[in-house]
Amino acid sequence: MYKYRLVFAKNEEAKFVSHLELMKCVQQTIRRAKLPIIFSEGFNPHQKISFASALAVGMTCEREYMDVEFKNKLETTEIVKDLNSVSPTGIYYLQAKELIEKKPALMSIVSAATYKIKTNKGLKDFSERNIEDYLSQQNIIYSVEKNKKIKIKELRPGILDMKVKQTSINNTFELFLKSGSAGNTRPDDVIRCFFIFMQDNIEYLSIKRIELFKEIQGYYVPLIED
Amino acid sequence: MLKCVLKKKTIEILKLRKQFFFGSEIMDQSLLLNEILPNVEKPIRYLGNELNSIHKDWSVCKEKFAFVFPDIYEIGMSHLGMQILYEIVNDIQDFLMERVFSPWVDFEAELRNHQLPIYSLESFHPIIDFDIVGFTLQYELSYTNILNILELGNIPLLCEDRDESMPIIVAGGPCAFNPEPLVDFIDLFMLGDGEEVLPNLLRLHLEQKSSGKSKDDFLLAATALPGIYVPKYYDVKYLENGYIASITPNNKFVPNKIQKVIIKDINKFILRKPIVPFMDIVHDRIMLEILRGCTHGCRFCQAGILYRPVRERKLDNLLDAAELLVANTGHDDISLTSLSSADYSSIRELSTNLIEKYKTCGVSVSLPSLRVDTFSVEVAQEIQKVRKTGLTFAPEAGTQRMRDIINKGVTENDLIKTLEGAYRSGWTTIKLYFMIGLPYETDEDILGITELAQKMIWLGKRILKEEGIKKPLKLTVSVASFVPKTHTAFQWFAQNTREELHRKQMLLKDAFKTMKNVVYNYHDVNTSFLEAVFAKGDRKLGKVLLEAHQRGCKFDSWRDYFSMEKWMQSFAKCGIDASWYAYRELDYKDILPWDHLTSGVFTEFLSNENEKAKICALTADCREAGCVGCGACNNLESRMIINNREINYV
Repeated sequence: MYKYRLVFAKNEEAKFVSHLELMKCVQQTIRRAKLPIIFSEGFNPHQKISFASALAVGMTCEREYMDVEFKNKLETTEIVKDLNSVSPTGIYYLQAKELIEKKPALMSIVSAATYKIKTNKGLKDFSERNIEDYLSQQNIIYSVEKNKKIKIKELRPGILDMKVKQTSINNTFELFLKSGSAGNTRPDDVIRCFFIFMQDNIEYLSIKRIELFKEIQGYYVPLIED
Repeated sequence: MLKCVLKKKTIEILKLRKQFFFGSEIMDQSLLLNEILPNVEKPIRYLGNELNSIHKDWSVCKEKFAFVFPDIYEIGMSHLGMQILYEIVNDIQDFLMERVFSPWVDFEAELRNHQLPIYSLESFHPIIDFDIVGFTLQYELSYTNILNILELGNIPLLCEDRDESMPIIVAGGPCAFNPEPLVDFIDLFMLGDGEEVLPNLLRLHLEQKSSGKSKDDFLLAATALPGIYVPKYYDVKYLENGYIASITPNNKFVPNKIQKVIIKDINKFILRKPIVPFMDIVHDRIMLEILRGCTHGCRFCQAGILYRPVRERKLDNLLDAAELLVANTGHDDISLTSLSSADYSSIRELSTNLIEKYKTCGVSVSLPSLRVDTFSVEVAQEIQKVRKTGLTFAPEAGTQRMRDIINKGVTENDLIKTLEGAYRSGWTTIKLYFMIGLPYETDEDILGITELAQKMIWLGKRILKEEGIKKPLKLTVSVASFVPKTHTAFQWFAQNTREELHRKQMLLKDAFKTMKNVVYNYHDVNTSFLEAVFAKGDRKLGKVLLEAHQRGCKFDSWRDYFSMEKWMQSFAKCGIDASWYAYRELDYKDILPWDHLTSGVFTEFLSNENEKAKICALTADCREAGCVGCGACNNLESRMIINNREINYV
């Protein structure tokens, strides 16, 4: 059994693909690529694939991760090439790395993520100063109404870093947020809350996840380095 | 008056459209992607960039065809016919076929709010930009969706309001065999298999268009193709009592009768690269069509008549096709589809072959429909090593008398043996399909359903005990209300009234109350009634359809959107008695609204079948017993093809 970590991207053309649909799509892609995937034992055998993190409908990503188990040892460049040759538009494979030692489940090690978010310009000019003020609050409380229940979220502990760049037509935010099982902070919540803080209106936002990280002794490293 | 309003509305819409699309032909994609689609449910339905979708260069294609399935994406994408035609048309250089589905209500509201027209998934072109727009008519309750799509496409609904600049509106599929309620809206209908006739029709249109011929020239020329029906060349006269006095051609160049077209060599068209949707659709698997047609001859069944004669595909051809389909789709299941898959001569060889070949890559094989016989259960048992789903059988009726009337050819003993086999092999969830409201039915026949279910429960309990199977026993009894369909032995029959059907449903409900292991399902009688009205309707129903559309009727096959109230208001407004259509007794002497359209089966064969039904006489399966004289083979100049052999009955 040979274990590989695959890095893939989901771009604009596939941004409305949900996580479940993406999982199905990857399984089909692996079958089309005729890669020697290992199946689980039992009544309903399924391919041995584990994803690092689910991506919300509407988000794109630059580097997502999954671990797969193959029967044979393969060239990592071949794996990437084979998958890309049969992958639908919008989903691309970037890199494969063989995992030599036994690793903990991919999903359990994700602890942070970076995002790039585009929004409309809004009425006001934003500066780094505004971000500092926003982040210097003791609590950042965001309340959302869902199914007639009001849910209150505390966002501040989940925000590791935040930056903004403004042009005449839009804003680009860069966010570094806690992610995964240890506490998940949603990028759209952070941005919406910031617009409320600035007393400004949000018209649209498009979110791209840039990278997923694991925490090693207080440092955040991309999952591929694991 | 009505038409006047419509025309005015159309002109306004056209003006709007000009404003909107001035200088650009296709939709504003960034508006769609960034502002509209994020706010609708399942936006992936509306993007059209799935694997194997074909995006041809719009500017170089000379003949452009939009295929519309008038229901939502996940239903339309499960339609094998669309996938076959998509590949055939797009394989032709200069031709292009793109897909259109009904937008779900949320997206429709967005389109209307933004004054955007409905567009094709591949190139985002408004449907008005195509040469030909074709609808598939799979069920009567989708008719209002057709009008809604035309309206969303800014295309005038009525044929007579569409000028030369408008696309030609065509339709095919099973309901095209009585398309009379749709003739106000649709220019041309195709009867039968589309594989050859659709490309020929498109070729003809391109020829006519290039030589500067008008739409009328094209429509008239098209009538020379087999299976093509252009309603405006036929006049229908009515008697005072509403029955038909005559259906006569008003043009000497068109045929008196239009007979369906079939493909004689079923092996010729191999679907190689079907579109693989991202989202879960109704049939999310490889559909390997192993044969077309069915010879069992159930008297209520329309498909059994419309798809004659039976044509089996070659085993080698199927194995090759399966290999391509697995490689090109990556699906994890191959469904061996047809009207009755266990009929396929080499079903065992085919299924074991496929199972052996694909088990290592995690691809399973399944049978969508099972006959009530032990052979079917044996095949199912070999195929489904894991009893992950239940089994479904259709005895259709509760008593032997009733099953003989419908020529089901299944005995209670068959059912007992079949279910015994199923239970012994470990299936504990069984579903049985029945119909009520069948011709010559009595309450005894209705209660026969409960008696049969009770026997099956006792049987199941005994066998599970004997085999030591601990799983709970569940029997689902699904009871549909019979809708008489055209081109069948029961086409003359009056549907049971809604009150009568409801009474029969309650009779069953009462009887099933005490049976713990039975889940009893039944349908809304109103939708079955409306289905019967439109299935057997005539041209007078067009105005009702238009009225219902204007009152907001759509998605009539969706319980949440079906409004009997709006429908009844529409009938009342048009002064048409819906009940008359569903409940009128027809005589063999009467001219039926669909009498000028034929499946190749003799009407005399159908009436004879109806007479046999009255005396509970059976008609054998021509596959085994020799020709029964339906006429399909000779009329269609073709032969039944079984096990690679043409069957020549004299």
